[in-house]
Amino acid sequence: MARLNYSFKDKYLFTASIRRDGTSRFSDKYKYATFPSASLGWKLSSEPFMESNELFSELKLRAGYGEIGNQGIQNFETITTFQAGSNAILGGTTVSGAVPARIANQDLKWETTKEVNIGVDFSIANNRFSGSIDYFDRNTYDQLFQQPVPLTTGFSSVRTNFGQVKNSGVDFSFSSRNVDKEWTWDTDIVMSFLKNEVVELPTFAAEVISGSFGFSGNYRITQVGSPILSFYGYELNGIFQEGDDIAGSAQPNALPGHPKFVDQDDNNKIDGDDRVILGDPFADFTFGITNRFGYKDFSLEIYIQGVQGIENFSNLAAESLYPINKERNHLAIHYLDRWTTSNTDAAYPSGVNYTSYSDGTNKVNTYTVQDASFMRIKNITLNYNLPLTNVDFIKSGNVYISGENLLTVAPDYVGFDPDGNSDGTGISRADFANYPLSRIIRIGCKLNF
Amino acid sequence: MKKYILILIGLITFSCSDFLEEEVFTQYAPDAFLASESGINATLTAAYRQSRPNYREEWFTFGEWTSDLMLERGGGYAAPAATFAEFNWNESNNFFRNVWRDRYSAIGVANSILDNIDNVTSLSASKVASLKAEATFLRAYNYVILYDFFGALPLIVSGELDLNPSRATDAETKAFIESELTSAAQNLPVEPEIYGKATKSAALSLLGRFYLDTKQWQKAADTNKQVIDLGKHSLFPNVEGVFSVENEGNAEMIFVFGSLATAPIQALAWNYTPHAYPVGYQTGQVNYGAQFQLWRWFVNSFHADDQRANEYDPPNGKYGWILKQYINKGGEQINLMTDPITAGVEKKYPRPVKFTPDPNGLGPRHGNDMPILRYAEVLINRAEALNEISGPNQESIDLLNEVRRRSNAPDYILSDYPTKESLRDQILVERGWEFHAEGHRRRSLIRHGSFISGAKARGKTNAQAHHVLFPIPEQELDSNSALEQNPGY
Repeated sequence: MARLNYSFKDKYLFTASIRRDGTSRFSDKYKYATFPSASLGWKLSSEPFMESNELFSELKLRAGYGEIGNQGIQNFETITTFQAGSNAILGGTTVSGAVPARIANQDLKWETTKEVNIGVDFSIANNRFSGSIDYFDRNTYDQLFQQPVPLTTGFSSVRTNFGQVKNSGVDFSFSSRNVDKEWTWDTDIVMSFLKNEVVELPTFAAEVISGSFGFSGNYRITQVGSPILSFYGYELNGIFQEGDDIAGSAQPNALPGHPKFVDQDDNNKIDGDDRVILGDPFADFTFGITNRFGYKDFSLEIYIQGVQGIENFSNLAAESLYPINKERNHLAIHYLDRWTTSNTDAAYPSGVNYTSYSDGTNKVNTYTVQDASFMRIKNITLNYNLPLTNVDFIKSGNVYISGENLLTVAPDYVGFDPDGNSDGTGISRADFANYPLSRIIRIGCKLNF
Repeated sequence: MKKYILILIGLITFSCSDFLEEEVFTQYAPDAFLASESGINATLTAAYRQSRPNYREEWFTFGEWTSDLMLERGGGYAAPAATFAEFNWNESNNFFRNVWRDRYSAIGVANSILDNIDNVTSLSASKVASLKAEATFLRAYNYVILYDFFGALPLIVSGELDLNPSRATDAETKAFIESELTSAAQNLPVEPEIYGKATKSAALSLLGRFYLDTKQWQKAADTNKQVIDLGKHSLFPNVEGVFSVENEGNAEMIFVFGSLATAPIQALAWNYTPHAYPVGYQTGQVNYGAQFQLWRWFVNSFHADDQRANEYDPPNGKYGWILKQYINKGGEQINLMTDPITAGVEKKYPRPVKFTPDPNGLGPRHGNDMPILRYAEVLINRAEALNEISGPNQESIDLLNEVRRRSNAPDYILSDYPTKESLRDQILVERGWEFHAEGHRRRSLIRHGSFISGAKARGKTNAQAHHVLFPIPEQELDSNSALEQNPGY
């Protein structure tokens, strides 16, 4: 790897680097790859023509381009091997077996992410108001992905380099000293807008349906033009009522109180072809706002966070609406507001003979893919610095009371924590009775001797 | 004045690449591995393992809940079981995907043996032929199971990667299975090298069953006769002990998958028994929430002298096939034949415990081998085939009576069965008494034409003609555009 830093008059900044990486995980022809990066900076505020300007105390434009590689796969994925496994009982004892380990893909290569970013840093009115705005466009090419293959191959997937995924967005960050007198008020705001889109997929996998969670399967899809791992299932359009023309509908065997699926392809039959994208696991918009107030020895800090335009698949709702067993994992709301002949405008279906309308992926529908947008008062701290100037043996001290996770507003979410994810730490999001966030109240006193 | 600052932090390039060459120690390179006797044996072992059925899905979910003799209540498995009992399944049901995946995975393992075994030079030609026959038998066994559930199949006969295989025709699928089993039968040993391995009689019995299920009556009669004529097999004299651990390897068992209570993983032990034990059964015995039960009418249908209806009641020294009453942990006497059934709970039906619980069972794990093919079936299969060819005949009656005498049930008399239909119906009843809980029922009902009509008569209004086959799993249709779904789905 090589790196070059160059600075001219402290106004023009330039950095470039190039690195060449190798990994044994790929086959000979793709073991090595080269990743360059470069960035430019221009401190406008140091230019002569800006000297007379009184608005900006600092103004800097930035632009950058970089490539990085990812080799995050298992060893041996490019070669066919046998591995120990599948023991059997023969002759009354356990005998060791060996099985083909995988479908090898000799064409696996580095996954490459190319990012362009443009940004501006600024500071106005004597640093009273400062901030930065960054636009980024991050394209990941040849993503390393498990591509499902027909099970007749003896395997369920093969590791593949997989098309192109684009993440683009804008990050904002502002700080403001609103009031700076006997009492003070500062505000920090960070905001982030993100869009994820699958730009290209190989022809052999125009769409990839995957996912298995609890007793639910195939709940997500990756297809061109949509976010990766979007939630994929059946759209609902209300509940069948008594007197509806059920026999003439796409669900002729339904009963009043059963959910009405949208027949997307108008073929008068509800089947796998009627599935649509019901949401995606990427937040359109996230923000955090911190307000700090001060008056003499008192200070108050309030931190609010928010996530908008994000969905998750709730296996908790799936188990509650379509129980695998009547004795486990129910949420009251699905039963308190269920359809009955006397509660015909119920939010949820009757639950009567539910196996006739819920089987496998039918569970992935408007009820179970839910909007997990939320706003949360994450933290409030009230602090008082003790007036200890007359006390010899204590240098300083303060007392405080703080509360964490004080309030969460998630109007369209049913469950314990809209921000939780029971499906690990990857992109995919599923909710299955996440342990609820604890609300913490702290009262404390700090003394320095 | 211009000021330049130039910092060159470093420039390093790797020119050697030897250290990136992977030498594989934990995994075996296939060419060398499959050219060795130990490699072939290990892979064949894996083929046996992967051919072992998921008995809960294949025998009970598919075979019994869809049929007339048994019911399931309770546990996390209640909803899926109800889906099958009510004929509500569809292509997205994961059980179909699982059996499709597991069976084709086993076929893939068998293919890797068959693709490579001719490269093994250290073995005699006859040994190679017999190993090849084992792999062929196991591959065909998986195809037989898949054909029963799904009909005509993509025939994958080598490890060559095919991402869009289409289904062979029904005739091609059947012809393939028949020729594979015929060839396996020619080369498999009469005596197994190791208990649990395939034999000539295993291949012939499976072929005989396949001919029967596909209504090739003469071939079915002849092939089952070949098994009888081998003279290797006989009924175990005491019906109560047929499946017990202490009688493993008895001459009635033609093909089993071995189990051990001490197996390293649960899938290699027999964990059926906890499903059969009722709620609150004796202290020290594991039981599951999902309860496998027999309808009372069925238990009442046995002849009074028929030992297949004998009670399982160890405290009183009884080890029959059916658990009818017990004293629960609370000291209450529970009678599964007469206690009132509580609606919504329905866990007070008699239990099939023909797989005699293992006294050395460890938790849920028992050591009973999984019976796949046994001699009683060979006898009844030939009896049924002969009746289909020429109507009621003395040989059919004698074959059936051979099975009945073993359990002290009174003989059938030819004159009681004046028509082919009357004997056919009786054979179906006899099969229930002999083979209940062994996963045969769906196949038998389909062959006898009463799978759908019987379901409708039981009030399963969803049952339709196309339900005799299960749907090709949705995920497989999603990933292979060349596959066509079965009609009706």
